[in-house]
Amino acid sequence: MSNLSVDQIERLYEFTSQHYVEYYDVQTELVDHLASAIEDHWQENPHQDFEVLLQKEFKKFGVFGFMNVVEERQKVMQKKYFKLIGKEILKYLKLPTIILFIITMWMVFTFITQLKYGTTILFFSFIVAIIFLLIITSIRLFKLKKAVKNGRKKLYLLEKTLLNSGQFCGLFLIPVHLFNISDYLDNTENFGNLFHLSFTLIFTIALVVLHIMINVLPSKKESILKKTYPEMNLENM
Amino acid sequence: MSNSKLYKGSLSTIILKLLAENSKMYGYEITQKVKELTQGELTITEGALYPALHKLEADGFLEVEMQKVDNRLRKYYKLTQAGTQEKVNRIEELERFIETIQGIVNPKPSLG
Repeated sequence: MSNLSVDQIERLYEFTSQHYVEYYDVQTELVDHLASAIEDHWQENPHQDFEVLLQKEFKKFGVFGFMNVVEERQKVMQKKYFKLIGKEILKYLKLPTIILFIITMWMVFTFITQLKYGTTILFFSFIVAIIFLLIITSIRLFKLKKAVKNGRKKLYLLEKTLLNSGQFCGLFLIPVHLFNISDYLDNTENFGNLFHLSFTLIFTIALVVLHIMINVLPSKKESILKKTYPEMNLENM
Repeated sequence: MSNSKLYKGSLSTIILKLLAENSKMYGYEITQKVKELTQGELTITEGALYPALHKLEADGFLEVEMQKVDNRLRKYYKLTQAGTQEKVNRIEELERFIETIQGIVNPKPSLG
């Protein structure tokens, strides 16, 4: 039984990339599938043309080609990403970081209850921070894409998800009407401490989530990727 | 089978069952195994197989292992502990379903 040559494997990677699979981890699985199928055909008749067989096997993926596979994989990685955030939040709520959490809460609470325009200032700083972070993530993504383009790096789906936190930060910007709320909060005396306290809690958690997305997870990127993609260790074999 | 709609809902159950019996398998192997077991009656489409595998992996029912085979990398899927339990539940569910359908398609003649 003949196996695919290194060049043919390369051609399969190129083929998946031409069919809109940009992530190396997804490509790898599809390449092995196509290669196994082609080798099976060769077992029956070794003279069949590689390209003809490739097209034949690709057709089996249906009219949408590899799109379904990529989409499902993206959902999986997004789910994984949210789980990672959840785990980090839980870590934050333990000693010693919980002290930091309480101090932040106290500061937020003092801001919104003691300062005249406290909530407005808080929101304004929050939004400025998000815009700043969006710029950072864009730069990180740009660098990654450039490295991939130059062939210095392989693009893994989870890596892009980890660095792409900017897209989620954008979600924080959606409630622009928060400005109105902050104005309302600053000018209304009728809110009890319980309201301010719950508001403080939500705001502090939002800060922690932002910190996790922008700093904590990207700094742990390498170990997270190695755990998720054992093939990273096999590549150099 | 020409009508793939009939087995679509059972695809993940089939995958779990096969993995329970074969400890670890890769995608192409699963398609071939199903073909072999059903004498070609049932063909799992590639476009459905991988999304199903990835979903099971995300749900924590499968874990993966990579191996270098010839000059390429191969991704093997294995059942996790949760996956083994899920397999039992899903098989029971499927068996009940088959019985129910049988009751409709092929009703036993009642004595009353």
